[in-house]
Amino acid sequence: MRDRNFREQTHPTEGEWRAYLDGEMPALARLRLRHHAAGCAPCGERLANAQAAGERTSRLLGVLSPTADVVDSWERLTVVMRRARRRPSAASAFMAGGLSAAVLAASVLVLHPAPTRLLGRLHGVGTFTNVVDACCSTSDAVTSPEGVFTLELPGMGTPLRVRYVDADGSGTFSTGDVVRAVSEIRQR
Amino acid sequence: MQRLFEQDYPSLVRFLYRRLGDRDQAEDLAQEAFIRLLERQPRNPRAYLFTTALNLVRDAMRGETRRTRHLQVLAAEDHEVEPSPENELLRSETAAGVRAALAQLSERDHTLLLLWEEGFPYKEIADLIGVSPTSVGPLLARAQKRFLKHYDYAGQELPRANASD
Repeated sequence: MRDRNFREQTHPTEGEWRAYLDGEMPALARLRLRHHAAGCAPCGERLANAQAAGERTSRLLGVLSPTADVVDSWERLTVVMRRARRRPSAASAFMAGGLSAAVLAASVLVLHPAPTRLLGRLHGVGTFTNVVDACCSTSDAVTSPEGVFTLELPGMGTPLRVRYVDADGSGTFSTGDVVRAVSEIRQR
Repeated sequence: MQRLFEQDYPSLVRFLYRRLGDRDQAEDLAQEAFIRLLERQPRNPRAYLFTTALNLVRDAMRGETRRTRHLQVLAAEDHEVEPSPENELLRSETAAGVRAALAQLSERDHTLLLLWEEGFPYKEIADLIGVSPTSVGPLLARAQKRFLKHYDYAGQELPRANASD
């Protein structure tokens, strides 16, 4: 490669040099770039600058390196997970989720004495006036395990929004799932 | 799972700390990310952890106190310059400069640099920040330039900013 007619030649871009340095180029392309850098002084300089920029960035970011106490943090995590495993079942979670859940329970129990029966009825779309199961929508190509549906029952004044974790991965609300929160949908 | 934790937890805390500037918050969010990982058990745990971490960071930063808290952390660091060995002082100044430079970057550039520093391959970086894999190289090159430019610019002002009382 000659660098005499620099503008007329095809030279790797800064982005390509970065990818080359990061080992992200296919083998043949790596070979081509390396050969090019050896015979093209401006590109050799670009490569050196890119390498220096990367090393300096890495060095500076390295200054912000807190030491994490892994052992202590693991113990804390296991405690949290043990508490989570003792979490009540979906049916009683409906009851115990807080004030909003109490509102739900109070309004629902008048019509449906057995929460488990209510849960059974929740499986069927059309049983209620408005059930929209928004479970497991994709965002940034990662499936969220949380779902949301709106619950309206005859005689129930305020519709409720129920957020749950799709624990069984079914894609819809089912008895294997865990209710996270229940809230009133304020009407305008 | 414990092995995964030992392997990825420090990296995750470091990433979050560099992203948020607050160590306590970084550890809290790292814990939360692992809890979600345990609930979900995805095929690619590391990618899932960092995706979750990014979402948690966005949620955390939507709060009104985000900017105030960050500035408070930066300000607190300035006041933490105690009589100490020269290299500790230098490190403290450098850390403040790095944080200030990172704060000048766009959210994407900030995240991009931190993921790169954590050793993520381009394909995973692309998935995490929502760009094509071929864009990562050019974006990284520009992000590094901007970061160093901001750092060097702040460094020129550093002696005045750190004039002792």
